[in-house]
Amino acid sequence: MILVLFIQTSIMILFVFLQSTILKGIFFGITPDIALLVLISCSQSSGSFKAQTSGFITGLFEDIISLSPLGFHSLIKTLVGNLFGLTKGKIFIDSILLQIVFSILATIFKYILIFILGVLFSPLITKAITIRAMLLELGINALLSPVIFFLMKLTGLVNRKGREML
Amino acid sequence: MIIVSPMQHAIAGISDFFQRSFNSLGELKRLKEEYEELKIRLEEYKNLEQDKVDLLQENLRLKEQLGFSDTLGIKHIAAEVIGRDPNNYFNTIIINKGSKHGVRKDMPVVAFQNGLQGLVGKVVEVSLNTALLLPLYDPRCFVSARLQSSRYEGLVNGGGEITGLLYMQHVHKRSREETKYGDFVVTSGLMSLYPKGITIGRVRAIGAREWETSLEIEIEPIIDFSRLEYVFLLDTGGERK
Repeated sequence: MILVLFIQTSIMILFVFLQSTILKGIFFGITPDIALLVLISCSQSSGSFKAQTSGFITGLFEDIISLSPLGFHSLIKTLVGNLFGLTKGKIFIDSILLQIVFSILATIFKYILIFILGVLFSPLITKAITIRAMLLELGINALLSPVIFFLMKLTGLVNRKGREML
Repeated sequence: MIIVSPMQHAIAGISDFFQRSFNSLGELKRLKEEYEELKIRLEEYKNLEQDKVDLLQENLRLKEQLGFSDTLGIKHIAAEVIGRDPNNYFNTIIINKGSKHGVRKDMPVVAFQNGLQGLVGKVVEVSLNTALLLPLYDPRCFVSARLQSSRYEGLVNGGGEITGLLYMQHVHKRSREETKYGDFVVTSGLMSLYPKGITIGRVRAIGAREWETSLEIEIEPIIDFSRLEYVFLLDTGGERK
């Protein structure tokens, strides 16, 4: 269990670092949230507990390298991991269509949480978000999701039916 | 002898032909190996050439920055941008200098682009080897500013987009007639972290509503933040150079 958690978290943290460097603004000035896609891919097979734990740790890293209030990303990633982990054993996201739908739902859920946190803590957080950026990120995440889901299957963390392998 | 000798000649000729052909095959094989080796070496030289071009370009850029650095007149720390925010809703810039190099919180940051010095933002968090900058285009960044020609004051704030505009608010309505498109906006230095006279941007549009007592001016930043590579952190509390 610890090994799965460690690998999942390491992959997500790696993507967070890539997002802050070579992937920054790569598609029309927009950065895809690949760490989020990895999180939903893993949460689907490893369940809520592991997903929310790795989501929390990854979010904490994001908080450290970004100017967000401490706990901002960790709360979002924990909740996404928890919610999508509930689908373990109930929905198998084998088809590309389902993968795209899941990535869209995760991105929308993430933005809803951002807006709620923005209202609760600082409206300036949401001031920087534009509809264009949000829609572009939604589209890019949707397009990248089949690739990320496929790569995650290759790592052995997720099998064809979305069940945990390790 | 007369009969044998031509035959000997013929046999010697034929054997010579076969021997040369055989040798040629060996030579061909050797030449092919040499060719492959040379191809690899050529590839290496091509890479070296590319490295040389990259190094020359970097050298030029650094020389340019060094030249600008000499003109600053304030004690400063040069740094390189090594990362940005991993998401699309915060506007962090990460640099490769930290407290170990003398970086402190709230230090103003400038950069040089196209021969002009422009304000980038300020340091908001410092670790041992890196620091986080809050850029001008972030909505949480406020800078006390002044129109360079008319000297009217206002407050500059970011719009949130890296390639977007800045907004100067609370500018007195009387300044409308004296403000022209393309006028420079500079830091005012009033009650501010930022030294006086650093260029922020140029006036791009002037918004004047009848019922409002102040203007809102759209500013095009001097710095193109999407291609920011090197920055200078000003030590305003430090000695003059």
